[in-house]
Amino acid sequence: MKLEGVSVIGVGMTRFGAYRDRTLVELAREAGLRALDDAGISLRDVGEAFVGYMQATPMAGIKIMKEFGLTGLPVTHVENASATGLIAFREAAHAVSSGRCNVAMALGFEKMTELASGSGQGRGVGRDSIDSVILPAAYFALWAVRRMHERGTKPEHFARIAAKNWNAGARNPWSHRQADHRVTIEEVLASPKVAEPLTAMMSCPVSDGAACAIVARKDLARRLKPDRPLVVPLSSSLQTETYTRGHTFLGPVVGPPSMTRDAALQAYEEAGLGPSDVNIALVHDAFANEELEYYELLGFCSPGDAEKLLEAGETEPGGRIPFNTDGGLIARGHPGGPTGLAQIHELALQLRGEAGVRQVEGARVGLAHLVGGGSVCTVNLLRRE
Amino acid sequence: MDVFLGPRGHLYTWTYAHFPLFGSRRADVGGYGVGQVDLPEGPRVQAVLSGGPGDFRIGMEMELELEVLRENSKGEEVVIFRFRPAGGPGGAE
Repeated sequence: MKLEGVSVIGVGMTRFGAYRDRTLVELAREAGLRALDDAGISLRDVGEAFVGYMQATPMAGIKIMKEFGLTGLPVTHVENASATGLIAFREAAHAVSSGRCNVAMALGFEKMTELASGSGQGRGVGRDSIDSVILPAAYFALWAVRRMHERGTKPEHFARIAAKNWNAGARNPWSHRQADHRVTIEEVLASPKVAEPLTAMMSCPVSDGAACAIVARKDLARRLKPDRPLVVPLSSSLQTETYTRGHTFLGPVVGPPSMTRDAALQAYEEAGLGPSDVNIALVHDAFANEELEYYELLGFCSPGDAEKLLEAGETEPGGRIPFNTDGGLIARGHPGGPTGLAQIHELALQLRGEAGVRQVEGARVGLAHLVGGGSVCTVNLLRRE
Repeated sequence: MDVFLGPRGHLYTWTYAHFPLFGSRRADVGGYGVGQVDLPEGPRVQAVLSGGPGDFRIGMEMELELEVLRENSKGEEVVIFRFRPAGGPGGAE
């Protein structure tokens, strides 16, 4: 369903990082208050809230929303694995677009460090099941080895994407990883192997953090900040797996790469836009080889041409279609629940022209993409108006 | 209609995970292989592979084996299946 008459009026986030001494409540409050402040409203103005997290106790979202006040507003939990933040955003946008409320808040928070140091459970399956013995790095490494076989892709290609995103993170104050030097392809390749051919520096870190986006009717957005360009969500697709021959039923936490192509086609169609209209793309680069696949699957080049697009520097800052200007999951971090809302945070700043040293000149249309275990894929298009 | 799946197939893709985690417990090995195996009956199955990182090639024939993971509280063996190169390490051509 196309989104009508909605604008992002406020964004806020914590810097992502390993916050062993900070609680979920503190992180969520910081991000939410920043977004309310950015929008110039208070909780009294918010008609609905959608809270997203992957690993917390069942009531966490409702309890955390009480930190902002007790206004009686409806609160709904959203959990779609790694795509959680974007789906919370999608629900908030639809709540406004459908007329259910005038202002809606999407808030994501997570402490992945607690998961990582815990029992190793929590991937939605019991211990020792066939799904629990294989960790996510391996799933995406399977794509990488197959692509190397079919297309002659080299580990250097994956390393180049990782280095690009590390270096983008160093320009983003909200990024978990902020290298104190220019990260090189050689350095990425030399870091410890995680799963052939992926190395640690090609993989996202274990992050904590929170992020928030507030959406409202366009007329309210104009009244609140008359001098600010509108950041308008045009479409938000969400798909689960579609059967094709060779479908893998047993084992995977991520579906086939074609999910991204299908979800993108739907989002483009609903927005009345095509890949050539997009100026900036934020995608699920939990592992660097994913980003290479998405160059093709999101329509920015023909199948088989992703390596050429990369080698030409077209996905770097200053290129035709910069990818993951905020560092992506690899540098900015991937705490689960808030990840998609950090993408909306970056797109809002970019489309308003407020991204500082990261600013993509003339950015008018932004794309946010995530895949999630289970599996799901979402593609979201936002436009400056 | 039930279709019985045979124990052999061909390797579609693979990787070798270097971290010593095997589900929720630390493995007593340096890492483990993971692959997708195309079965002649149609399905593609994702599973743990036995062997080292130098043992796998896309397209090679694989065969299924069972591995005892642990014993449950009743003393019964909990097993998972995994695939190994057919004909032992290095595989059959």
